[in-house]
Amino acid sequence: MIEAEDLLQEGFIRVFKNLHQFKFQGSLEGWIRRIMVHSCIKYVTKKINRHELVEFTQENELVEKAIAFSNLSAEDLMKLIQSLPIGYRTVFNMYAIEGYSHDEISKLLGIKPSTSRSQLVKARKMLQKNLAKLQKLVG
Amino acid sequence: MNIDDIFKESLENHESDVNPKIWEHISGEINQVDKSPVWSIGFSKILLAGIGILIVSALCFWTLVPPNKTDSSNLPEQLMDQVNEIEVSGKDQSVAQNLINKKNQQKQTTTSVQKETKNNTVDHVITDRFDNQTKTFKQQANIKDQAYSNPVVDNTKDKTENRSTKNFTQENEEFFSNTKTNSINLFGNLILNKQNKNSYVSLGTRNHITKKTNIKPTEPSLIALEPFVIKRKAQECPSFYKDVWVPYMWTEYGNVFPQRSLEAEAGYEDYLDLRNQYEETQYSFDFAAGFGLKTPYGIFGELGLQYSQIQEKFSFTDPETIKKTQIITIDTLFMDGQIIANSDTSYIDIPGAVTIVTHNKYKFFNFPMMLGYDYGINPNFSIGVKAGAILNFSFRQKGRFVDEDNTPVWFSSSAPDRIEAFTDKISMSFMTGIQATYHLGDVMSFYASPQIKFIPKTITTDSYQIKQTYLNPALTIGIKYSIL
Repeated sequence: MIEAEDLLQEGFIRVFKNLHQFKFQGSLEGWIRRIMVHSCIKYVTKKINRHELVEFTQENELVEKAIAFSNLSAEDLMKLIQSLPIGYRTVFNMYAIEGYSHDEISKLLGIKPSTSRSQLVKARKMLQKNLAKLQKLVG
Repeated sequence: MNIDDIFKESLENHESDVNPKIWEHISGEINQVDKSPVWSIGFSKILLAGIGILIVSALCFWTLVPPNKTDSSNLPEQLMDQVNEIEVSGKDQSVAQNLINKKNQQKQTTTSVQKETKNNTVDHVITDRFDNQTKTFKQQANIKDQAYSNPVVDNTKDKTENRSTKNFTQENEEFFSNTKTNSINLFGNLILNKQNKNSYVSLGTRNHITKKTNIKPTEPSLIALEPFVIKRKAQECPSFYKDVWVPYMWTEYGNVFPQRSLEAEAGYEDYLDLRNQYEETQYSFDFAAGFGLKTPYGIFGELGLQYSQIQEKFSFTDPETIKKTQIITIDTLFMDGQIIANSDTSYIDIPGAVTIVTHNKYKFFNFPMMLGYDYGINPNFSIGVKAGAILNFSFRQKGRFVDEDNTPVWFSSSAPDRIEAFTDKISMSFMTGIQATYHLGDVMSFYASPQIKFIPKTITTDSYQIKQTYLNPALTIGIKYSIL
């Protein structure tokens, strides 16, 4: 959480410093979002341990089970994501939440597209497992 | 609904509460940015202000320092106050000596006569520095001889001076008629001085004539100018240190020490870091030639054509490259008094051992338009300032850098799979500098000039994410040659 706040601060400072570069082409929100995402990626790529990004030689697509999550709040889901290792978390956030493709993720993080895919698969697996546990607890 | 959709729907528009202190921190940081030092204002504004100051300073200086002109309305008094030094030939020195002797024989009351002549080889030169004095001298001489009906034979070719003499005749007849000749001779001083290894005959007086009497001179004084055949060498020749118009050609060579400035669009700061990591500026150069015109007031303008080349070094060590190294192991054994050697060759791979080095070149054809001011310290040396605009035409950039994926790529215009970062384009740059000029003669000058050249507009294409500008200190040396 502290890291997130630091990144928020750094991102907004970058926004204000580069405000003169905003050419009023497209939405300001999108422009700020892009800067924020890049700030986070920059932080992550510095911190990330590349050994965490273990590449799958063979991708195992998950057979996802339909689980009712209606009783889980956004904060709970956030905590689930934060519980992921940084490599999983980053790729999952970028792919699932921000909508980047694997090619874009690979370029931004400096990894291979196959590594991005494998990280996503692992993140999904772990999230699904944790979700199931949480579901049981919540009842 | 798969797991991605579940998270996306829940978190896409989710807003977490943020610690209010963060906004205070951000506000504090932004205020610090606002209080950033003067250089954050932008080099372009500072440079433009500097050029403005230089031009205004030059104009002020020009206005405050009047040109060396003789006020004809007050000629006699001026003449008395001036120290007139005229170089004469060796032949003329003997004439001058005769005059001194004649003067002594006539026992005219006058001021001192000094002689220090040692060297008889004197150029037939009158420097224009003393043109006005010379002119005045001849005028006075003509006036005086006219008063005694003894016209001066003026061997000079400068007819205008004779004409101008008439203008002063009437006015100065009164002066001469009021001059006490026995006590004060208008041109009583004939001083031979040795200066600068040459002999000079200095005509004129250091005395100040402040009293005028009604006694008219009774006989011609020794000042009759006739023997003084004043010869001028290249009288009309423009010289860089004279107050005349001088059209000239110039050529120069500059040692440039480029200072590059990269500015990334928002979100490309990482890419900027990569560029800075692998690239460094190197010694660069430019050379130019053109025409110029110096005015009598010291201001000069120059136009020319310049070739400029900024050079940088791209050095990239690819961590994925592998260098094979051969290792040969030789084992030597002694067995039964014999030497048995056994060699073994093996190869090892050294990762990240290959470094790509490319010398990037950014080429420009420039059209400099300069304006400057030159102030003469002495006939041989002057200092000045100059500033101006340069029309740049950048072309055929050549070299490599890394792309956003940290992969070396070519940007050369001739490379088939190049990155479209540079293109032929026209832009404007500015320069300012000071210069020290040594005048090798009347027609040639040598100068050295520390300069700053500023390229405010990016030399990259508009679509490229990094803006690339330069502020280039340079040390330029050059030659000016008078056309006339």
